[in-house]
Amino acid sequence: MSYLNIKNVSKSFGSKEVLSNINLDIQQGELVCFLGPSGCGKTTLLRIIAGLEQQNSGTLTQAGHDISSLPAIDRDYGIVFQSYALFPNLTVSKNIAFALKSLKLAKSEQKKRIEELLELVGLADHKNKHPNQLSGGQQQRVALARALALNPGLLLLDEPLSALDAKVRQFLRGEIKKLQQRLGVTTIMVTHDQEEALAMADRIVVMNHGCIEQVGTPEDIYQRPISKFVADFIGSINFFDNDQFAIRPEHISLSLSASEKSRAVEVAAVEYLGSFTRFTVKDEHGLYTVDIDSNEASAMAHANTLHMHWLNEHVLNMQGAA
Amino acid sequence: MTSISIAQPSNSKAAQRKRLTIKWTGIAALVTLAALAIFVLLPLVEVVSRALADKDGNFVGISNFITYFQSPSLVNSLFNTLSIGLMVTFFVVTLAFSYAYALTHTRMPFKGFFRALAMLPIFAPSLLPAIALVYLFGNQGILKEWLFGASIYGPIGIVIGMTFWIFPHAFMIIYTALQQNDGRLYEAATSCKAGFWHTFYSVTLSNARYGLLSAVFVSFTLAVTDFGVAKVIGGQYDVLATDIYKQVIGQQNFAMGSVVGVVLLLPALFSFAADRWVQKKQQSTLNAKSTPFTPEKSWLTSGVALATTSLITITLLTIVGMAVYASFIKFWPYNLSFSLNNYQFDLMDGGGWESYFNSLKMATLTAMIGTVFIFVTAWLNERCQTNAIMRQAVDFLSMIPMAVPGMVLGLAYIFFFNQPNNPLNFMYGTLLILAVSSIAHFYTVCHLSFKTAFKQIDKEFDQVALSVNRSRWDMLVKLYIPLSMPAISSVFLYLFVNAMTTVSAVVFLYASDTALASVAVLNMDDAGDIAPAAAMATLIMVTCLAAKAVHWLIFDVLIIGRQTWRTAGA
Repeated sequence: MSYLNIKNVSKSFGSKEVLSNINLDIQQGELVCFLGPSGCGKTTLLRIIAGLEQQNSGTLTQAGHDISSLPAIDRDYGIVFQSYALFPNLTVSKNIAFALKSLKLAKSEQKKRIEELLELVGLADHKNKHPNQLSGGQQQRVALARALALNPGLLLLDEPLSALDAKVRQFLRGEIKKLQQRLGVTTIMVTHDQEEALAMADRIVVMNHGCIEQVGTPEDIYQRPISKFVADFIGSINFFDNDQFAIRPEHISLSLSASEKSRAVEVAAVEYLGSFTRFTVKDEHGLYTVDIDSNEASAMAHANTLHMHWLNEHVLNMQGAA
Repeated sequence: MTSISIAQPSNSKAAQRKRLTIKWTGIAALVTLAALAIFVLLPLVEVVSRALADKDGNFVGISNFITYFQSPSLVNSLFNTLSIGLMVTFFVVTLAFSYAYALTHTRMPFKGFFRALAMLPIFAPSLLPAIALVYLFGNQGILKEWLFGASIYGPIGIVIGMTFWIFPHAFMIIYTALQQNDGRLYEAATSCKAGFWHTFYSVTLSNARYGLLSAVFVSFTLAVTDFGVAKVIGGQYDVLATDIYKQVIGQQNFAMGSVVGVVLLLPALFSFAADRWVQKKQQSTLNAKSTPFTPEKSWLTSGVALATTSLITITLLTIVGMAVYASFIKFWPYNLSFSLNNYQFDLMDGGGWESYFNSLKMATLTAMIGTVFIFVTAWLNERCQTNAIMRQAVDFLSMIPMAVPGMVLGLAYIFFFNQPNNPLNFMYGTLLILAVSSIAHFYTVCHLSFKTAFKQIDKEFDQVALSVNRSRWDMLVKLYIPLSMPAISSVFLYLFVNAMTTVSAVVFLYASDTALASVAVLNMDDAGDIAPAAAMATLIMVTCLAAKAVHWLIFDVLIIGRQTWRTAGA
């Protein structure tokens, strides 16, 4: 049986339906990402799971208990917001102590617990600082420690990394993933960043317009997208033959000389992106985006005409996809 | 699992406690809403119903209003009030704009000094400038010739006195508006080769336009509703605020007093509605990417700015100085030797020293009860209220006092609390009713201050608290109170100073043993004891300045200064 079961959940704000008939099972200990463009309903779904919004219809079951109409206060979860919501007037340890109050621990026990938690997120040296003395990444980790303080069955992360610099973000997503695996806490993370979702999630829930488009492992989602939306939203993709087929830019190769199965294309634009170079090429059917390893690309960067080739095994058949 | 191994907390107890808390905040919200209805709305309903009744309380429709508009002297007051309002607004806004512009858009020296001095009139009752003007330009005034034979007792005196007293209000609004200028716009204007006037018009004025309009409406409202200045120096020149006083205190004609009150409500309501409209428009002018504006160095503009601000400051200081000086003079203008005789208030009619101590008690009561009540009400409404209709009701009731002139509120309180069958009748004639009327009178600004403070506190804090089973009460104590300390502190001082200086609402409500200092100023002036009146007005001002100093020490140094997290780090 799944740890969290979401059944037929719908939600409208006024006449605007933001979630329509959502069904989803989340297993004990897995890290699931809700991924989608802004306005797809992912945050609303997270807030319904937390009890911060009430669904119009449908049921939620957590660890075998029906929590559909349980107030937020009675549910078992910890949450981290994009803004971290750390109390600016309290030190790091007092921020965590705030969460521990309902356990009614003895002073020494509470202190020990706070130290454990700070150790866990690698901030043991900062316990007496105020949030504005910490970097964004450190604040984020304090918020994480606070969310874990009550040992919740479910950890909810609402765009936890989007306020951070690219470097810190990359580092922290590894840290969060490691921590999550170590604790085995069932985790749901909302994000609009597909790279983040691919890197962290055990399973990704791709959402669009209040519906779930696809649920699957990162490989599933990337290699076997079941809809044009998913194919397009995760990574880049080229559609051809009236959108019946698609191919990823890294699966196309280019060369200066023609070969048996290649076809000639005109170079429309070249973008150097560091490790790879993105070509936009054109044939009589339309434009293709092609990613070439920059080591190979330098020889072709100034060519006007190139020869394009791909293997049929890389072509995604989108016939019948929505 | 690793070191994280403490057993799950028992959720059920926490849940029970939380449900209790939800009930607690719900009931508290209902209580505050009821209190607002009782102390703001119901008394006003009473005024309107009196205006529609004859002396015996029979409903007579608008016949009182017909009588009113057929009485030339009363209609004349309406005309006088509006023309005074327009003139004062023009002078105040022009002067306040020049002053604020000099402080924000030039590199003149001593800005902090001039900014502080601009606020001086706030600390004095509006009666003080009027008394000072009598000494300066009155029948025995030292600068009487400056008026070329015109009399200070009338519109000239009223306009000068009100301009003095309203100046800081307009200045604060315009100063804030001018300060919120995006430096990038000036750089862009320079790069477009726009000249001074072009930039002034299309950047400076256009950025500050809502602030300017707001200053216009606020000044107009204060000018048409003020009672003190017109009472002391108005002579035979009647305005609506003095008419209410005459009808009620002089002729005991409550019905006609109410009619004048309702008439006075109209320009104030109009001005209030216009100001709200402007405030709504104003919201989106600045964003996080704006850069501060640094004026260019120029000896000429700095010089002109310094001269202008000095001139205005000297005028303010002359008026205050005149009242203070006169209060220490033995017998104006015949014996100019120094004396403390005028401070022997117990020798005069008007309330004596007791009235001063009453004022101190009343102002302290107002500040303490008011700050707590308004803070809790605003917090419950902003952060705990889930019912949208209740929330809007509280917001609406909180906005009403801004539109209600003090004289009308005072009248409303007599009608409402003096009814023998009102269970709150026991409050009548106590210091408590004076404090409550002052809280009601100055409610709106305080409510808005707290609302703004809460807007800066992320709602996600409350959601975090929910996720770790912490109550609303915990949030109030741990987060809302410490974070709102600057707002709490400024509301406290605002209520204290206004309660010390106000005359309008309380003039109807004091009893013989609850006379107030500001009312004593009025009564002594009325009785011809103008020097003691100046002395009492001076005492009020000095008290308010001292309160400001003590307040600075307690709040800014001892409380906010110790909240090291405000300045720590980044």
